Amino acid sequence: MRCEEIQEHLVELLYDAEGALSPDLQSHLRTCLACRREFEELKQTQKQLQIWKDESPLRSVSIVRETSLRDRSSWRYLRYAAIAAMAAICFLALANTQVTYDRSGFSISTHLFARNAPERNFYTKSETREIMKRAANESEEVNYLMMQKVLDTVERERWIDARLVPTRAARNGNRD
Amino acid sequence: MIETEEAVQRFVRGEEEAFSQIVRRWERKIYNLAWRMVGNREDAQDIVQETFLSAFRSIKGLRDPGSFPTWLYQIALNHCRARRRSQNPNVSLDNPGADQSGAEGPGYSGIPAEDRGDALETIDIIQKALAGLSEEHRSAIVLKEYMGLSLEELAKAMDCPLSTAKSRLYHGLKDVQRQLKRLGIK
Repeated sequence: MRCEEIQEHLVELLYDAEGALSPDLQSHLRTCLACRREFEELKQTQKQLQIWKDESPLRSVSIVRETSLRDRSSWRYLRYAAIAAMAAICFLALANTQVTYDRSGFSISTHLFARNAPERNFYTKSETREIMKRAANESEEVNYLMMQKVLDTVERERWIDARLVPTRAARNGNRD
Repeated sequence: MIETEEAVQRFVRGEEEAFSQIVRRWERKIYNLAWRMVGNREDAQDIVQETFLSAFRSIKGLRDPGSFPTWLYQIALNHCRARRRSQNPNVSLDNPGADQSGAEGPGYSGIPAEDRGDALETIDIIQKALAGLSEEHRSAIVLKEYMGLSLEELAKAMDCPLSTAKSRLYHGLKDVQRQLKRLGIK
C-alpha cells in the first residue's frame, strides 16, 4: 500500500477504528513513519476541535410564524377583493355617464346604475308627423292636447334655431 | 431517533402538534450546526427558524421518515449557504471574532472555570480556523465532528459519493491543522 492510497483509510481509521484496521493498513502504519505521524496529527486536530462544545439556542423556535403567514395571505385576498370592488364601481360609473346639451349648456353626470330617461314635454319631428297622421281619426279633446304638445315642440325648435342661426352666421362670416 | 420518525409520521398524517416535538428535539442541533457554519449566534438563530419553516412546508414530501435528520441538515446547510451569499463574507465567516452577541464566547459551558482562560483562547482560534475553510470542507468537519454523523450519513447529507465525503473530511482536517498551526496552536 502506497502513502497516497492511505488518506481515505486514515479517515476510516480515525472514525471507525475497528472496521478499517486491515492487515495491509496495519503493516503500512508500522513501517511508514510519515503516515503514522500524519495519523497522530489528525487525531490531535480532532481532539482540538472537540473543545468547542455545543450551547443552547438563544431563543426557542416560534412556530406561530406559519400561522401568521396564513393570516397575512388572507389579508392579501381581502385587499384584492377591495381593489376589485373599487374597479367595478368605477366601471359602472363610467358606463352610465350621461352627457347632455341644453339651454344651460353642456353637462356631464355619472350614475352607478342606469337612470330612466327623463320625461319629455315635447315630441321629436318624426313623432309629430306620426301624431298628425293619427290626429285625423281622434276626438277633438285628444286632438287639442296633442296639438298643445306639437306647439310646444315647434316653439322649442324655433328656440334652438334662434340659437343656432347666429352661430352658423358667425361661422360663415369668419369663413368669408 | 425512533421518536423523530414517529413524530414525522404523525405530522404527515395530520397531527400538527407533532411538529413541535420535532422542533424541540432538533433545534439545538440545528442551532449549533448553523453557528459553526456562519460563526454568528444571531444569524444561526435566524437559520434555525428558516430551516424549520422550510421543513414544515415540505416535510410531507419526505418519502422516508428515517432519513429526516440528513434531510434536515441539508435544508440547514442550504440556508447557511444562502445567508453567506446574502451577506458580506467578512462579517460572518472570515471574521467570526466580530460576533458580539452573548456575554460569553463560543461553547464555554461544561468547561471548569479555572481552565476557561486557555479554553476561551483555544475556542476562539478553532472558530477562526473553521472560518478559514472552504464551505465543503467546513460542512464535512461540522457534520462529522459536531453532529456525529456516520460516514454514510455524511455522504448523504452532502449529497455526494462516500469516497468524496471521505476525501472532503480528510482535506478538511488537514486544512484545520494548517490553520491551527498558522494561528499558533500546535
